[in-house]
Amino acid sequence: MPQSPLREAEDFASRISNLLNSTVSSEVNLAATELPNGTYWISTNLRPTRADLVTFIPLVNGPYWENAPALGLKIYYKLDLEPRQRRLSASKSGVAIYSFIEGRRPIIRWEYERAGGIEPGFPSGKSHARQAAHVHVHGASSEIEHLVLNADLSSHPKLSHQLDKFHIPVGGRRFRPSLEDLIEFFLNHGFVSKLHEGGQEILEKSRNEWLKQQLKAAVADDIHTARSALQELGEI
Amino acid sequence: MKATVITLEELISDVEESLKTFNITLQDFAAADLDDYEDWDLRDIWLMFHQEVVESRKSNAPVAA
Repeated sequence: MPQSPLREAEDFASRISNLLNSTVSSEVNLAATELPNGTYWISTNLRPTRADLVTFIPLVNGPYWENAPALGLKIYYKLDLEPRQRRLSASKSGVAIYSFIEGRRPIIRWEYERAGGIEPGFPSGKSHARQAAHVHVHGASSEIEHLVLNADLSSHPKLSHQLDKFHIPVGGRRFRPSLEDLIEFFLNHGFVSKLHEGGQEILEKSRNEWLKQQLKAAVADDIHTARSALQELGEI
Repeated sequence: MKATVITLEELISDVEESLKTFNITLQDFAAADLDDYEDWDLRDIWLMFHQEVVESRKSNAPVAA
């Protein structure tokens, strides 16, 4: 028997908290907030709907500055019932890694909006110039600045010279990176020096669950191709 | 941890409070596009709640005679 959406949202918040506490942080205790329209918010904000009151998830195994972790995560998920499924799924999400050295500034931001992409399916009624899942990298790119300053961009008036304004696509709705992938990225690129003991196993188990859920959703997106693939493999 | 329940009015009120930090009204926010904002905290508010604000204002709009 399927869980109630409320219970699903609570379990999701608990799963994300456990993953973070088992790998890169501690004392994370995310909670779900239910809205009457059947959506659920989970975020690092003190109150999920007060976006100005943000608490960051400290990367305790990362570098320190003035006796405190120099890096932290800002995370939010909006969950609702996807029309073709009978379970909650993320319709929006954001994970950003921030530096707290001499002020607060984002470094990389991963964003997803199910109905906010140019790909077909899930139209929002608005025109978009980005894929539903994308990443923003904060910083400067001398190559992009050189291009914008020197090329004839009359047919591309929106091309910005600012790297952080680029919506770099990352895998589409079904194959976007998971939080587990991002934690692994933090480890492999020095944002954290290690995971907590046993964290790698927990991360891999959690990611396997994510991948299975995404695969189920991908099958629901295109049952004909899924059936054809199973036939080719001799499974049906 | 148990979930809390809030009303749409509370959500909109929270967003309004958040926007005060940036001296922006709900009305201006509803009409704004994401790329109208440079500040990344403000862009986050837009990404998270712009849809709810727009829908709320539509549902509260007076019905034409």
